[in-house]
Amino acid sequence: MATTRTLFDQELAELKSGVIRMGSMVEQAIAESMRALVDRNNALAKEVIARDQEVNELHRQLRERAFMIMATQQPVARDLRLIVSFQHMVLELERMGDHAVGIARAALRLNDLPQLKPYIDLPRMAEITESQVHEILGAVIEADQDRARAIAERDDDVDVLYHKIWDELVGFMVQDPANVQRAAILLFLAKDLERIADRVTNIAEDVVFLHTGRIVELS
Amino acid sequence: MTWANMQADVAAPTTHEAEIEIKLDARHVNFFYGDFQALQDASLAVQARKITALIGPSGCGKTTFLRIFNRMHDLTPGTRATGEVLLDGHNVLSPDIDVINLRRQVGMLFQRANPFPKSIYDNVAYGPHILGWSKQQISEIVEESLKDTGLWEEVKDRLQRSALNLSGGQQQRLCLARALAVKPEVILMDEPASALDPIATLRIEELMQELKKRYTIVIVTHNMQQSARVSDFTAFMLMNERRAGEVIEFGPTDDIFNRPKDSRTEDYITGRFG
Repeated sequence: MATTRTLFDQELAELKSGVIRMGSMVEQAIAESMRALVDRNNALAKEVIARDQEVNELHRQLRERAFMIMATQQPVARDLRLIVSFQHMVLELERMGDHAVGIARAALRLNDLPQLKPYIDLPRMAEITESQVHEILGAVIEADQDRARAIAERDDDVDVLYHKIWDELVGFMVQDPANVQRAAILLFLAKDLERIADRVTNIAEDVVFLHTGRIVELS
Repeated sequence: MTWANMQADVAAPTTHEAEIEIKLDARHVNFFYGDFQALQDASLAVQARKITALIGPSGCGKTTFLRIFNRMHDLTPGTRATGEVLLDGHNVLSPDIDVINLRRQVGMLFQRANPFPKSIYDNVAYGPHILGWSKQQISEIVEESLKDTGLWEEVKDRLQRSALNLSGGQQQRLCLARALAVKPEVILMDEPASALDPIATLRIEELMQELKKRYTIVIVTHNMQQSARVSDFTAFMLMNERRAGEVIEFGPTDDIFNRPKDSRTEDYITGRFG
């Protein structure tokens, strides 16, 4: 059947493209915050912190836009699911941006101190998390619920690494009180990564909802 | 869609199958205006004390379908209906049915309020008077019907004034009171709020929620938001390639508006039907 809601479809497409743009900004922020830590690059960490304002502004604009579409177009069924999902996704992405800022701030503090240990598991954890963020954006673009479910399953790998890092850092603290400050900062940093992976799962649930109209728990 | 399928769809979300009471059961109904078939193989199981909405584009046969339920089509020469419409198990399409009694059991509210050019009181008393009820009974039923439609407080001091002086929304509620006065079991509503302003529309919708505790309601509406707001079940109808109306999908309103199974339903409710 012919499409008769050209303007509405255009608005939805623009909203979707805004969500993907925001996702790309957050993906970049996460990658750069980790690079700022590993490369001990304070300038990059400060850039990540400053650019979060752009993420927040885009979040505000997309929320406003979604609200306007709901108020003026009275969407139902798949259209309503799309807008509600996008609203939730941008909220999750905004929080992921905040976690990237958390990592960048941790990097700034750690970069001024001697390195506690070589970073091995943290970059591995970040690698999985970053790829999850990248791939979930692909699943959003394709509205691919199978892919979303598969991505959410990888949250377990992140959790395993998080617990391993936790145990190791607590060991450092026990070993020498002088380690406590750096280990505590690294713990918070690891927690930021772990939460990003959790939020990827939340977005995966949105993709399933978009497709099926059912609210599911994937974690 | 078969009747058995519809039953399953209707039964699943809210009620145990054993508790479902089907008040009006249209089975494989065909309808003809002369040689032209307006309705093809339409089936619909209407649950008692629920609101069932018929939606679909103009010309899809929803009003035709509704009017078959109390044989209003008899008033149009050259029309013919086949299939079965069971009201509590009795086929209303049967030639030996008492049509006057049927229309008492299955009342109707039309798109435009059509009060008689009589007093408010006489409008409501009209049906009971024809049925030969006593003055005392009529007086009681007039008050009860006007109370049921929320009109009593507004008109109790001017019952002998002309009904034509009431506002559009009040006239529509008066017509509803007139339908209720003869103690129907089913109320058919053909776009009852399409000529009303938003406030009067909400009044009618609120009234429907009250009335469904005692009556079975079938409503035809072009307003999909209204269908989503007020109905428990929704049937989506569409004209087929031979221009005859068909029931495309029927189920709980929540499913029809959130997770329709048929892509044609989704196209229609999301406004992509062209």
